[in-house]
Amino acid sequence: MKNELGLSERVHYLREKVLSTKPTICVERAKIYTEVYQKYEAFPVPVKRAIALKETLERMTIYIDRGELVVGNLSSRINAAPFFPEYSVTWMLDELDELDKRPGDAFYPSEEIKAEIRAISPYWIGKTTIDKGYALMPKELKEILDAGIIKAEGNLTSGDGHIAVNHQKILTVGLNAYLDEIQFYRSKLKLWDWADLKKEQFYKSVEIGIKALQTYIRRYEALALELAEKENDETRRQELLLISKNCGHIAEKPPETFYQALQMTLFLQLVLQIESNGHSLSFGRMDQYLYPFYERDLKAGIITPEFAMELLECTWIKILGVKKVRSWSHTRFSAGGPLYQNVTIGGQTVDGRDAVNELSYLILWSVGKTRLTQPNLSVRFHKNMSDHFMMECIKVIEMGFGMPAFNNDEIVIPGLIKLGVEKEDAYNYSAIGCIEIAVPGKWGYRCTGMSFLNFGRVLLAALNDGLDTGSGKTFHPGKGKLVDFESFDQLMEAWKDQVKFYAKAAVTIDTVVDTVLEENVPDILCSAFVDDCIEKGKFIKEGGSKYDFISGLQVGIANLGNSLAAIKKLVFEEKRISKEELAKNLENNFEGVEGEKLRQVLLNYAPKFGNDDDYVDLLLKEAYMYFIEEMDKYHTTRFGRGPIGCGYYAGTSSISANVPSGSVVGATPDGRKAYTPLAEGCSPSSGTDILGPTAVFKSIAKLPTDKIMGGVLLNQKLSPAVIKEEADKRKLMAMLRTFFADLKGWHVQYNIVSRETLLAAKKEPEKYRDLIVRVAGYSAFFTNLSPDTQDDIIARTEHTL
Amino acid sequence: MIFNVQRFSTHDGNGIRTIVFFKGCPLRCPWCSNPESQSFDYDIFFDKQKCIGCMECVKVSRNKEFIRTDEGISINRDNITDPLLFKDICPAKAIQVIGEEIDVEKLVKELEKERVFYDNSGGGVTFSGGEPFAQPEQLIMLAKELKKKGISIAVETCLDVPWENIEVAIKYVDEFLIDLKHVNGKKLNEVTCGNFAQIEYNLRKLEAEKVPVTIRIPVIPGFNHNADDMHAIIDYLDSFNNISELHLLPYHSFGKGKYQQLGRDYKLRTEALDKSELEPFLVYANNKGLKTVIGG
Ligand code: SF4
Repeated sequence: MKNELGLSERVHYLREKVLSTKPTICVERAKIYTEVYQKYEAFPVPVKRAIALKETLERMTIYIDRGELVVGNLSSRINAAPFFPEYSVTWMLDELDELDKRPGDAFYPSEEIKAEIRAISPYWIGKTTIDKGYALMPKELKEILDAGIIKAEGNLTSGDGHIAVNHQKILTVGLNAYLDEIQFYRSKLKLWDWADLKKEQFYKSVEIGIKALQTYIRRYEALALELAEKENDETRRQELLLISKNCGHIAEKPPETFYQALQMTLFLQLVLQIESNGHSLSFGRMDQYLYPFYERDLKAGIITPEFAMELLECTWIKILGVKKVRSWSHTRFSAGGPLYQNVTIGGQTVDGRDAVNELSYLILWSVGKTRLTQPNLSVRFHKNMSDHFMMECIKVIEMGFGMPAFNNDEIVIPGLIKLGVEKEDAYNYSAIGCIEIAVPGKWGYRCTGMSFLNFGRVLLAALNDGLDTGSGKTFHPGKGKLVDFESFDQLMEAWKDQVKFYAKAAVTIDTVVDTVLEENVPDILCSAFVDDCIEKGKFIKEGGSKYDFISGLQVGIANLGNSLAAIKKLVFEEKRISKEELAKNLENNFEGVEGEKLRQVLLNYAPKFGNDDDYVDLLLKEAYMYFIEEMDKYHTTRFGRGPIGCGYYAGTSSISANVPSGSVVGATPDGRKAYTPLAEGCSPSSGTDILGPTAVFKSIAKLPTDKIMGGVLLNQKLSPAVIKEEADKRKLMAMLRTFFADLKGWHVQYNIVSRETLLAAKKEPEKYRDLIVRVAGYSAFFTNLSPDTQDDIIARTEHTL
Repeated sequence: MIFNVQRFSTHDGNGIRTIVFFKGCPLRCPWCSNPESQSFDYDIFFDKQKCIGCMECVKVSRNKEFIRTDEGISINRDNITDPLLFKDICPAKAIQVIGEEIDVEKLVKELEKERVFYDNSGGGVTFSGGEPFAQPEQLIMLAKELKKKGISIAVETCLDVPWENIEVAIKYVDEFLIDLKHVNGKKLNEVTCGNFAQIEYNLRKLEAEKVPVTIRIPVIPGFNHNADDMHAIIDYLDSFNNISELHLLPYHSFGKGKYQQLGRDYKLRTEALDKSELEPFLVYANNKGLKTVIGG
């Protein structure tokens, strides 16, 4: 491909390489872990894992590619996903021959690799976290999982992830300081005490882990030197020598330059993903912790903004080379194979000043320039953010790859403080993964939530006397069927009762999962780098972190509101539809002309969430609140073991789960046909928000967003032409400011719509009724235009892209 | 009567605006992109593609307004005496009755919903149409309430109404957007049924009242898209001292689908004018000292 992005030759080459290399699987880690587990079977779990990590970091293949400025690798090859047998092997064995045939997110392991996987796996069968999870799982909950009402598979087949470590501290004190700190606390242990003997295992393993990390970095020092000696090109030779020198330095001491600090950050990112395959490992507030280095270098004249940009671009390319192989059913929840490695910029300093600095711009621009799916870039909005920076953000959004997304300080910070987070920490939050938030380096795993709860299924159970129509089982007896309800209030009671039951079920499943993960796969390095694990002598999963909150993930938010509104208005108030008729049609999926007629009435004559209509918006809020209040009652497995919080809150950052979740839900009273996708995140159902983006903002703002700290996901689509002119961008900015500063919106991200979408919109207009296109001198809903006009616009859009 | 309220409009006045479309217009421009805005009475949109063949409309029909044929449902517009009979009866909204009497209180409540967006973007409400000044009583009632709430008002008008209709409203209107199609009275009348004498009278009155106005010229192939006509229009405008901006709007046929739904023919070409085809007039107008943009 041509270098159309204006990248340096080096960056262009590396970018092309990562984009064109077919994903495969690497078994090096799996082989070493298997050997170590077999050899040290009797060892305490953490120590065994520390040794396995150490041996992996010592023995795995490492390489430095042509022209690379930042180095490090996850596995033996670019785009090779490591295999993590201790979490699960069965699905891998089952799907091994199908991996290259998947309709999306395919992997292409060679026959040799497959043979090795088959050779390694038998040892693990019955020993993996998923095996142990199902063994511990109460029967009824296993049935609920199997029925697909709750999804938690990814938690058992993967590590935890969804965390950012304390980069600030690592970059300030350097790795040797960790060894000293471990020594300090370790020396105080009284080993006759049961708890301290346990801590001894923690310190022992963390020490092994840190030293292993140092070894890994030293290996690059040596490799770069070796390559430098062989290098004929003098410029490249100097580059390699510098890489070598940098690695040698940061293996022990705190980085002194921006280059070293960035290199260290990348090493951490890679090694933490070798240790565990939990995704959404995030960088935290990169523009804040790296800025002092950049500022110092700039003043000293040892860096230029151009070179800093190139280093950042190289870093983004490196982290795109990180791949993860998931089971097919898990893959469908994360379509596109994302690793969700989030970088957060902007926001405020602890004293409430605008935290945007020169590096914030460089990060923004470099992400815009490489235009890749990683990192996942988030910008923390606050009301004093400058127009200038916002405009630069909008210009990157305009490029049409969905970044940056915005999180809103104005609601997140007060929300965190209300939860008991100290002010200083609350001001320092960052996005984790997609849109979820945590205090980097101080928060446990999975602020983003663990289990997916399918609201569609729960609602249908509420309408069917508790019977889950998908599985034919009644997990919790209901309060009657739709035809039995004499008032809408009775129906709402039935919903409340069911959703409370499933809330408890979801938490119980989390407890099982957390117990298994805690006992079997503690993360050593990750814990070392999160406060206050070292001080407490505990892994994160044991309660070592300063804070610990998690959220469930609820799927089908808008469908819930729209369904309730349709029943309330059309069945109980207007009586346009009878209860029997509706019940029958939900069962037979709106069969025949009569069914379609009823469906159209449900679609067209009941209020829909996303149109600033209190009728449905407040109904949704009420129904959702029953769930949120219920979640308040529960706590995590770390409760009483140290961290502040240990509670649950709601979350809607349901990634691509709306599609597979929808595929297991029958027809719903909002007029949605059986097995079609549910609404995504907190966004309105596709094509139902017909009053434009401002009305959507208003609807979203009516939800109890300060209680949905797991994220209020809103995706808006705009056609590229809508924000083409400077004046239009200013209007978008005014709109965003209003959403965040006045309406206290939580998050928004933009999809600048492509030609493909427009074509699809033309074919299936009912799904795209909310798509706005910029016409000649005004904006219009695309699907309102006549087909030949649509063709005209499609042609022009292609032209401008 | 109005026929639509459209939120998040960004090109009909300053900032983010909500447009209230008044129903009824003295003109009959063949390029009109909202043909349902022309009649002062109810209209019926019938979009056959949305029809699911449920026969509801046939059942409601008293006089064979809708009948079933071999090609699906068919509408006999001439038989419709009471359009409201068909309001909200079609499940699929293939049939839509266009037009709604103004309920000021309800409408103001609706318009106020976007309040925060107006405030932060310097926007407000735009009365468009149709011709808003053709319904002066309703306009004034609505404008008064909005002014009480401090909401800014823009009016998009063709000015082909008695001066009194405008005069009473001036104090409520913050922004005048005047759609001027031509200055050749004969041509204007032949094509759009407009009365240039009336328009010119109102333009001069507004100038005399020192009301700043934005002029918007739809540039239409075969009507005014030629150097002679455009220069004549621009030269004419140059004689005014109250024009704050001039917008040249390139022709498009985006309303075409609506003609079909009204059972009318669209008589102009489909191909739009490209922005670049207006460049020479932009230069010409700018040289005259008129602050001009293409698009609005
Ligand atoms: S009521 Fe609507 S959907 Fe039913 S037949 Fe008539 S036009 Fe078609």
